[in-house]
Amino acid sequence: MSNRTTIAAFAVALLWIAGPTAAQECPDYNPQRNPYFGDLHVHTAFSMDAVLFGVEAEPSEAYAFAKGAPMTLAPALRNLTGSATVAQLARPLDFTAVTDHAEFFGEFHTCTVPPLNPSDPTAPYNDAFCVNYRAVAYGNRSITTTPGPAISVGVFQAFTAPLLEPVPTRNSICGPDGLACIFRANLIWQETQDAAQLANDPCAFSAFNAYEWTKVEDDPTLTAGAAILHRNVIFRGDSVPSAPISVFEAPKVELLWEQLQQKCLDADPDCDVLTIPHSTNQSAGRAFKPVYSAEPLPSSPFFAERPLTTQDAEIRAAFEPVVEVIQHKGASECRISMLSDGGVPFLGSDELCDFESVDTNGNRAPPIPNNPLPRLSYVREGLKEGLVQEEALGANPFKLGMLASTDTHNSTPGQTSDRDFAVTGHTGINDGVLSIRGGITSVAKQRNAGGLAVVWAEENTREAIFDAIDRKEVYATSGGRPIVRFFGSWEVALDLCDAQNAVEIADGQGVPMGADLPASPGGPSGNDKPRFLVSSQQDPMGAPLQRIQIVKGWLDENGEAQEAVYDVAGDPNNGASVNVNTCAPQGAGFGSLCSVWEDPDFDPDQRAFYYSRTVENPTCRWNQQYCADTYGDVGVACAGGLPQKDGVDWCCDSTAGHREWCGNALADAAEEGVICGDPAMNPDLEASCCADNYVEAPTTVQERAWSSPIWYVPVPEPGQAPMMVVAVATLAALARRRERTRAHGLGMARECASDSMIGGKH
Amino acid sequence: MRESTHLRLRGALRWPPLHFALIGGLLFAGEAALQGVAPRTADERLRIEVTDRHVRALVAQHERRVGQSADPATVRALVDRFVEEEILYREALRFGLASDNPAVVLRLRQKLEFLDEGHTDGMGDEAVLREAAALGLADEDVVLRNMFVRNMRLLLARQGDRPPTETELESHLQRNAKDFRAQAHVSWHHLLLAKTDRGEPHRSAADMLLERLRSEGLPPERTTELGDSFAGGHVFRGTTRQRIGTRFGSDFADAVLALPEGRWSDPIASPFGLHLVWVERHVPERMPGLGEVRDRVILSWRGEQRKAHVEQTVATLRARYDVVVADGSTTEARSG
Repeated sequence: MSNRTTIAAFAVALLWIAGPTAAQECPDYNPQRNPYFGDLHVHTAFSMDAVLFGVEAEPSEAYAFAKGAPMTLAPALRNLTGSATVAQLARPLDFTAVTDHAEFFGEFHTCTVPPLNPSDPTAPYNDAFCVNYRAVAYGNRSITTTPGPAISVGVFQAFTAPLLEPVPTRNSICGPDGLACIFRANLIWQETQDAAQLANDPCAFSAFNAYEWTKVEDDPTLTAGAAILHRNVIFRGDSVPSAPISVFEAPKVELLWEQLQQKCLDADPDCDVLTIPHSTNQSAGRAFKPVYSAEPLPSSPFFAERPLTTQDAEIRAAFEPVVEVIQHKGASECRISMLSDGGVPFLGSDELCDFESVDTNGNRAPPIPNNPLPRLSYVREGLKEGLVQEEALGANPFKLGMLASTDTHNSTPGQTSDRDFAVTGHTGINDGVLSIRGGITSVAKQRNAGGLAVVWAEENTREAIFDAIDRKEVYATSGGRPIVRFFGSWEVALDLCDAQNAVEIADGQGVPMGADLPASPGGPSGNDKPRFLVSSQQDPMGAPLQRIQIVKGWLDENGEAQEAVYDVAGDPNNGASVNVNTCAPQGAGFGSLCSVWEDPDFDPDQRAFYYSRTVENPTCRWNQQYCADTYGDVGVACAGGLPQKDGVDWCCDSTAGHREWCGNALADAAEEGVICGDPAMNPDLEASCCADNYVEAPTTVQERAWSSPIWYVPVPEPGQAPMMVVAVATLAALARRRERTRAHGLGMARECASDSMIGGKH
Repeated sequence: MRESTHLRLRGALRWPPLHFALIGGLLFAGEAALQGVAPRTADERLRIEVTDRHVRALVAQHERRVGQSADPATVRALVDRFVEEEILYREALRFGLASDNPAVVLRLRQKLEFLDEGHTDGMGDEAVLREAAALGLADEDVVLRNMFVRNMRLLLARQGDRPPTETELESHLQRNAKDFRAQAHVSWHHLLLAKTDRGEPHRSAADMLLERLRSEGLPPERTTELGDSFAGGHVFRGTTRQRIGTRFGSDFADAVLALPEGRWSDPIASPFGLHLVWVERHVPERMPGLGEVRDRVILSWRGEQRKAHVEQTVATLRARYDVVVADGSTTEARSG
């Protein structure tokens, strides 16, 4: 072989080893972006609560499930035939992030992996804390059955109690400064990363390095449970901190961002990260409270609260581009019965807010019918508060796009099927049994199968999907797969929907969901009112569409936030309905809807946001679907004196289970001499049981999708201080992301507007 | 004694999630019937007898859990799994996972306390062990048993870790081709005759349009004025079956994948109406080289190794046991 041939062969071999170059595009690369469906909130057996629920599947199995593999769920034994609880996605996902609770990675490892000398009495493995944990986790696979309720509840509380402390400390099994657990947490974190790396298959499936930061806080408005302030922490690529930053390292979200900055953004130029809040509906109004709270109070374990500064708002907006608007603990978009910031009950006027609306204020609080809950728990109110803050600060802390996920604790990403949910639930043994799911409290029945995150990205890679989330070109569905596009523009023609290449034109003449409208060009080339192209196609496996709405929020001339909802396509009175006895759909709907809507009430001086809501025809909710699947015609079955089947008595009497639970709880109280109306009565019991006024689960539902908003930011008048404040120079995230956004050629309208303003052009 | 326990639990009983679990607990109360299989003396160690009673208990437990009756294959699987766990449990005891294990003592202390609060106050560890043995608590402890089984599995899994060879990776990739294969994809255009709120489009309208496309030999780039507008898009590149199915339904996806390149199709139905489809290019599925997917192959290989190592070790261990199942037959030791 000649030298030349050898060199050539060597070069070929090198190329072969190096694989495809980074610049290579995926086959489906699309400059107008493709919709990819995913789940960014998934728990597996690496979450301490999932283990206590009897869940055994680890992250690698969760990813396999996301790609379409079947999974046998807890409590069924695995590797057996004939099981009734095998779950499988009808349609695999395009991307997934496994987000196990990082707080107990180390504790979990310490308690479950035996030391070299298993009989060493001083080994943390043999500490009572671990012994109890294993007893519950590997015992009867239910958090409260073995060896006795008190011990089991104790195990759960021993784990979760520190999360409520202002400055949480790790359990003593973790040794001095918690170092032993922090070290062991790395091992679990490493396994989590291995699973993501194994599953990540560029162009076909994206798996993200991620975890959940699990902060809960007490709140004066809560009589039970705690306010959920959890965040999912999603990394862009392989570069991640060596250990996850949990509540133990960062007990406040402001500190989490500070440490993510230090240990990710500043530590490695390849590291990028964002955080996603969820279950804001159970935050007792703290999710969108415009305060900074990470400065310890002198000689007190608590943190002071102060109003946000411009920098606080910018940091928050940079780390937190999107929010989970629905998951199994309910929808968070909006609510009818709310409390003002001063604690005064008021009613919203958008009746479609009555959708998967959970009536509990915090995690583990009881549901109370028509419970007025703090408005700042809801995303729409958060978006409005963002406008108020932006008016004052020049930066919007709550500039949030919308996506959704499941929060499954069964290692089953994307399991949003109502039929599956009725049978398997999302939390292992706790709701794997129908009589438990449907019966005990209304909490279980208020839950739902969760939603999906849909991302408009050029291709299916970690980078493209992360960047789309970062620029908020994402939307949320309540579990189905409708397609939603939303563009804002000053130019698009009112009949654009008639054009074959409507999306391409709208993309060229406007901005997509998640972006800011550019300044109005004025003059003959532009309109003086913004126009929005909105289009939706139904999920081929779902119900037809009923209508598309646009929700507008704005600041009026008095600086007060207002909202309005417009029907812009379809027909709210299309006559479609569902027979609740058989769940058969009745009447027609729309396969595809498209409309260009011009805001008739636009005022160029008023800052505003617009988002779309695509609403499907009515279908049965999961609970009713189960009844119809089980009994055929529920009405006939109930009229005939339905015998209880599998303990499912809610099909004919929706509050039976709750009543029974209340009856037992009140009897217990009575034994202690406490009756309804007594001040000594537990306030939760008083509210949820004494009134004999139980929350009923709806039997029908209109599944839907929410686009991320498009914002309008007025251009300041000449002589006024510019509202666009220079980005915090030290914030690497902002700088780096803006660079990417610029390279992307999108969403820079607002900066341009600001530049031209400084140039004195307006 | 019961009374005091009852009072102690009273506070906890107000906690709603507890109620979920308490009911769940009742469903599993039958678990106790499975106890008593563990040998009581050392010389019985290498014989595992699965009696009728055990089989019935396994089946009953399974049926309670999954809500379905167990077919013969399931019963065999249940017994197999039970035997495997029994072996791992006994090996764990031999391995020393239990000897002088404070976890065991603590666990038994808890059990005694649960039966009679305050009973073990001032009792030394040895006394606890003696008392528990007298009551048969140690032999009947599903918690200890499951704990040992899991820990044995964990220990065995990592025992055989080693770096892979090139040949092993190549062969792993070939054997698991389906996990690494790049899917087939197709690039296509379509014209839509949309369903309206008045109903389905006329098949005849679609046929007329098709006739024109074919007779005039119109390629897709010259058809932008034809058909109905569709905001869902008219051109799709590099789409897999799954991606087409998500947007147009799986029947539609199958139809598109079966079309020849470079000609207009007959009308294909979707929830949106009737489509005339022009396939520009099919790209068949492709097997990547090891270099393209190396990291994933290594991780996948390691997982398989660990699983195989546990299975092999269990098989080796199994050879040392006589396993007698209820119908009287003695199963042969199986190789992994």
